[in-house]
Amino acid sequence: MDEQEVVDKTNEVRELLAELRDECDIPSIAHSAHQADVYCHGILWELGAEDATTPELSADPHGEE
Amino acid sequence: MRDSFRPLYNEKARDSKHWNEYMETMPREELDALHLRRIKRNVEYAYENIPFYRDLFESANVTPSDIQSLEDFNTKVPILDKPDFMELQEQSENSPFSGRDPAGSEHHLYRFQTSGTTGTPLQEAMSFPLTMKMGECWTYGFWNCGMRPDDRFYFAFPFGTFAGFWSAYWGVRRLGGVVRSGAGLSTEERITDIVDFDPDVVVMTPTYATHMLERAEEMGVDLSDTSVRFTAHAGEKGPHVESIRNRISEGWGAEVFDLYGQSESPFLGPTMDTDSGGVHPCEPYFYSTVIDPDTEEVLEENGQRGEHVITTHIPGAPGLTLRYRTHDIVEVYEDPSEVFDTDITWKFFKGGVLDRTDNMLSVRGTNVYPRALEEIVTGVPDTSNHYEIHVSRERGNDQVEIRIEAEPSVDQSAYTDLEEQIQQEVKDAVGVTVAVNVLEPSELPRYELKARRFYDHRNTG
Repeated sequence: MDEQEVVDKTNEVRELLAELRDECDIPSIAHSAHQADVYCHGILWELGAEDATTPELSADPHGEE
Repeated sequence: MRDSFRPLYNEKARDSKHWNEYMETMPREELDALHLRRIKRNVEYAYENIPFYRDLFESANVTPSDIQSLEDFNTKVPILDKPDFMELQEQSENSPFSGRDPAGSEHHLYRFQTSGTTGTPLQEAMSFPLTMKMGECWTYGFWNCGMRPDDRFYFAFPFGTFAGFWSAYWGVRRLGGVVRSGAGLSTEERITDIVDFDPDVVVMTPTYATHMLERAEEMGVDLSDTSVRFTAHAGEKGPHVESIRNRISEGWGAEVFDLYGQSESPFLGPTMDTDSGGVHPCEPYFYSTVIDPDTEEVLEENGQRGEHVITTHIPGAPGLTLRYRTHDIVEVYEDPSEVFDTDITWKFFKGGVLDRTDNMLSVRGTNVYPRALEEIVTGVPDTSNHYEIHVSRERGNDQVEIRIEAEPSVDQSAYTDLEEQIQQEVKDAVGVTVAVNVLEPSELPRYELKARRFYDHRNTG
């Protein structure tokens, strides 16, 4: 799998996780989604494809940063 | 149907030479482009959100749009020092992190503080992503040193308010290794535990590694006969002092590795490569330059020595760190693959931290760094690596006294000869006369964490 494929797939996953994180009313699930997103941020960071200093500052896939 | 566990890593990943080949072998131009992108983003963020940095930029008459190249950054943004961060901490009275930490306290998971070796401790807050990335720095090093997920790690240190070794734990978690903590055990209990647990790696300070060797010998245990294949260190520069590294390596029968870190900006994770005899700054996490400490000119020729200045790409414990003066003296190789047998493109500091700019001594007109003295005295036969260097000032001159323990096998009647031998070797090597006091074994204190070796009495009257 090349780097661009990794980036694309990870961005897709982040969009799904953002829905879970922001919409699910079960704290256990919402927080797991948050933590999974942190790992996705790590994947992008390690490929030089993410510059946000920390995922809390990542661009929101729904639009707002 | 029978369930079976899937492997922790797929086969190709498991066989990889590097933890992240893509990043570790990235060409310099691409690395520098990545640094610039991350720096520009952080400069803009700091300018807009952190009053301390806005004031700093305004005082230098700089705005984010002025930073269009690494050269702009290196020449237009002022260099910061520890007192700047202390000032920032004092400004943030109710929340010591509020001025620097873009994540906000809601995301804090841990609170630590620096050791305070050189002054008032700095408070540190860490979030989950931060711990993940700090651990990642160790993991780059673990993998490059040959440690793998099925290795067992023994932690021979207490978990306390100091972040350093917590990050080692986060690194082993990230790798997938097995952790056993000897945190609450005595030295003797840890030695017994190591024999029973069969670890591949022991994580501890270099000083404590030699202390354990002494205790093990008293207990009749030969640590070189245990399962330990690696010792991994942080907190002191010991592993890059050849005599100390050899002592640990031979005593433990293990390869010895070091992590160069700085609590003020914790992301100094090297790939701990002793084959090349130095450390690589972990470039995904920070931008590293080496400057002439007097002129602040950036040094870019392979082999030049200067002061290490760092910029973190992520919010370190004290928040965003832009052009922070570490006071560490290093010998830099901008492109190590030109000089050393390595395919890692990250910058390289041969010999690790060579010394500190704030430790320099002036003895009758000759500038001397304590590291040079350490190299000499610990290399003299019949001495241990338990020593202290005391500096005082008399009539404008720095006076140096070295206190060092003899090996247990040395008779006290030989101490005077040993003192004269050390004094002569120092005189021959660096051209100055120092006082030497050889002590009996165990006269000096032992440390589980950072050992105190250098005592500066010059400003204490």
